[in-house]
Amino acid sequence: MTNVVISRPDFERAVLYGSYWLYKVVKYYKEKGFRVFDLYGGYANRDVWAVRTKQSRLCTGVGHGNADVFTGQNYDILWRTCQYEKSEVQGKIVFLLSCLTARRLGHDIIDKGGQCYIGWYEEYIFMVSKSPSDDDPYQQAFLKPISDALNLLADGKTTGEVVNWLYNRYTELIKQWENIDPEAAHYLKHDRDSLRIYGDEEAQVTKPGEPPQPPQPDVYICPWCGFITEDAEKMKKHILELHCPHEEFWYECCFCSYKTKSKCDLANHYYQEHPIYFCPYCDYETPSPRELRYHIKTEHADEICPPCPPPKYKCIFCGAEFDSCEELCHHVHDEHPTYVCPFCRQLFDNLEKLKKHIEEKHFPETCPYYDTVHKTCMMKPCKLRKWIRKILKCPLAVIWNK
Amino acid sequence: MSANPLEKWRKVQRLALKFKNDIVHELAQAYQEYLDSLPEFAREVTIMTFSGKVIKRKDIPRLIIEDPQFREWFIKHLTE
Repeated sequence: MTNVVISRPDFERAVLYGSYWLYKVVKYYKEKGFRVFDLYGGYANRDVWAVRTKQSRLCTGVGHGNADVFTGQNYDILWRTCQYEKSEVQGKIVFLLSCLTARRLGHDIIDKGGQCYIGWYEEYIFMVSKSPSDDDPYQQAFLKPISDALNLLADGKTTGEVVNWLYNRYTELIKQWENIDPEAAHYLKHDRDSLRIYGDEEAQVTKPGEPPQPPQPDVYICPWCGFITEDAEKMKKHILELHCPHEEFWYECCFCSYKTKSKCDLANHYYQEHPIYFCPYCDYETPSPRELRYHIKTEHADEICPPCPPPKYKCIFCGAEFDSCEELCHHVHDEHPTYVCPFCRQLFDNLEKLKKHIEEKHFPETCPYYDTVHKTCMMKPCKLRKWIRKILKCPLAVIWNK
Repeated sequence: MSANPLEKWRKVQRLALKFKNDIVHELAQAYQEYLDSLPEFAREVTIMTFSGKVIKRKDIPRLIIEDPQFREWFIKHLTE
């Protein structure tokens, strides 16, 4: 089976148009029984190109370029003059839909053993009036002839014949467009005149009359490292483990459309976006707390422990417990009349304790009003404070006044 | 269409051939007249190259006046 590699980047408008029209070439070659390495989008990179060109008879593609360079996706350099292996071009037909590559890169390909090179010496200028489409007359004029020319190679035409056909096609189109849009005719003429062919003009992708080859068992070649296997699953595993390049092989979130090539990223995604709730009674897990509650209620109703009793309010004086704060307050009020020290606000549940406290902490023995204060204190703490402030000359009154 | 596009285009080419800076506006005007002579669908066309140029045709008269780099590119291609 003859192999063909076609580079079709899609990162920018101009190459997107080229890729659209080269897709017709991909389909045509497949129909004709060729094995096509369609390097579309991100696959149009140097690593894949280097592997596939070595395996292919025809190397073609669309891409930005200049005298020394032919590029793929995101301007990744596929070929640069003098900086690629001979085996990538040796004995091959190269057809580059790009600008200026015939100036030096084309010659370099032939010098390195390429059988034939077809490309453009000047910028390839083209016009479009709508998005990539078969209905656009401008795309029909500027891009369709190129895909047709490549298809002719698949039909067994020689490179020389194909270039002649392309030249004549441009000439016809120039005549057609001269009265409709002379500027388009001018650019068609420009493209026609800068078309170049170097090397063997008798080169063919397939020899005429060559019998179609029977389908061979599929061999899978890793586009990144060239690893070869006949087992699709093995290749899948290889790519997944070593390269993980394509969205198809990415890890998928089972709750949303999130995809990632990193297992770790997926774990983070789950943690942040879909926290998992585990059932404490079985292995059931769910991202929804409501589902978990429902599950426990329906599946483990018997295992659920009885609800915890509400907290008790405990009396600090006798240790009695009450269900509410109000009950406790009533209890303390009724059972333990509280006495407050008028000086430091400490609480006491009986008068004796308060007396002792005042004696020890607040009234030195030298206080002449000790007894009076003592008695008053037994009665009403607030009155005591007023009494001290207004009537008594106790030194503590000074403190209170402050 | 007000006139033959081919005539208008030839005028653009003639001006490009004898281009000097003092006829910038004349060249832009000539191109505008050429555009006006085209059918409606042809005025919305975009010109592209595989070296990174994307130019809307209706912007060309403005670019001829404002963008010297584009003007140089445009005249170079017209006079080939």
